[in-house]
Amino acid sequence: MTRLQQVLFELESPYYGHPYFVSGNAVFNAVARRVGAATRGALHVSHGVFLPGEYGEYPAGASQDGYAGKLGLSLPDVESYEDLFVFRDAAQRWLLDSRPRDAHNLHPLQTHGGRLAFDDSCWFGRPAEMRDHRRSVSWFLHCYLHAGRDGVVPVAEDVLDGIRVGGTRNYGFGKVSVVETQLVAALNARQRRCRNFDIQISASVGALSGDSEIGRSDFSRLAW
Amino acid sequence: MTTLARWVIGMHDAIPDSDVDADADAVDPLVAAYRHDVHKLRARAHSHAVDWVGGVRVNEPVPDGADGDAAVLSRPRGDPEQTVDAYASWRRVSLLTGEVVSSESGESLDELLVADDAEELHATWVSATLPAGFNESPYYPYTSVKYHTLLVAALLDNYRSGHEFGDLFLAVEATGTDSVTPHRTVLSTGGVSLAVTGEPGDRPAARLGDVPARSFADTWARLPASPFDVAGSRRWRVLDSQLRRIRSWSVALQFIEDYVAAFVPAQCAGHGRRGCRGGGEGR
Repeated sequence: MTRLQQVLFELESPYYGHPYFVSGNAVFNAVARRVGAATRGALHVSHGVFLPGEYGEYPAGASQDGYAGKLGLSLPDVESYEDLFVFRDAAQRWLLDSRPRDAHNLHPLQTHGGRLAFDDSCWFGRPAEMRDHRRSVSWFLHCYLHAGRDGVVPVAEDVLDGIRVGGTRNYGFGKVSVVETQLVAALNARQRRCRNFDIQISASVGALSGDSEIGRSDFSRLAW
Repeated sequence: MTTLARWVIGMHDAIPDSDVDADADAVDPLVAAYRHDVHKLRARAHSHAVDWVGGVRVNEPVPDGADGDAAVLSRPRGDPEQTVDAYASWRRVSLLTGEVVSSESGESLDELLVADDAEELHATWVSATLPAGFNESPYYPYTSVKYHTLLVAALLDNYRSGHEFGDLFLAVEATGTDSVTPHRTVLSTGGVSLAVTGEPGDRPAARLGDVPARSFADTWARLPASPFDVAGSRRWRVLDSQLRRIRSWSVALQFIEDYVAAFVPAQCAGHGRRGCRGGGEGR
């Protein structure tokens, strides 16, 4: 029986860390200092994947289909295996084609003394006749927590809330707040066949660097 | 805000090309490919375009469906929708800055048109800045006419060599050099050189897929080697991570050009980063 805790964080400040994703190690260390030794010893954390808080539609294979509203702002219900992977692909295929999907999915950059950090939100223009001429898209971080034994997950929201990940954390970078967590008690037949579950989760994120074996795999799937 | 009629800017690329070969005076189809979207550089819809600019035949349909295939590499198929609120201009919006690209390129349209030699035209387009200031369609302001045109020419050249779309690869040219293969090179900037070709040889390459689609992120993620030094510099890793997020081909290729110009010092280009401190981002 694998119990997965799905966590959606919102970025509260710019992030200066691993550009592809927040490594599971970084999230683990941020959480580990807030929990007891027993939890620390049993907890596993997946990579955290960045996604924009934007409108979307459920991707092919998900248990629901059609328009999903502001999908990036909350966790979709998990009823099928594919639901676990809705946010796990950097290409974020659920983003609507009727909106500037590549602009929304580009992690906004800012420079600090020549260093490139990722912004926690991005501004877009709106029609001039509207009272508010701009709208913002916030950025989120999605990861999975699980443990080798019972009683560890779910980790309480107030423990996860406000952790900081990435570089220059002491200067306020990389702060994230919990938006939603969801416990997935999941071990159906299909997942049981998929023994190397954690590897698949990280592989769907993409390569760590050019020479990574995982990065060469063909996990990226064409969704059309 | 003017509402643009859909049929004007839509997939005009689907125009039948049966009468092209019949015309005895027709120019080299590759030359025509580089001139097929000149109306966009003059901010005109295809239906309102003139046929001659500066004594040169322009806006001819491209044979073998290369234009339509290149279009669906960068834009959704079917009726276009206005994707950016209150913006319906032929000026491109930069993905990097979010701003409308400056119109001061210092080039004139004539320079893009005058050559009659297809290879010369290709070399001009690869380094051109004027067409990078325009989008493929006001409905998709982040797309780029420059890279759309280069993709059209690359597809056409491959089709004419007997390759089908499913045989094509995105190939990484020798890193750190600005090597250019006529018509096949779709991007060459700051030591980063990419080609769309049916003959990748021993270059690192990834297949484009069976059918044209906005598949840039997938193709990029499958490349067995990066065209730049992701292990050596965080700036290249930031670019690499962003390219795994962009699905439109012309948007992504234009983003590489803009990012390299903005953030990568000349000596850091490609893998030749000796003496490059990378702004303290080497880790």
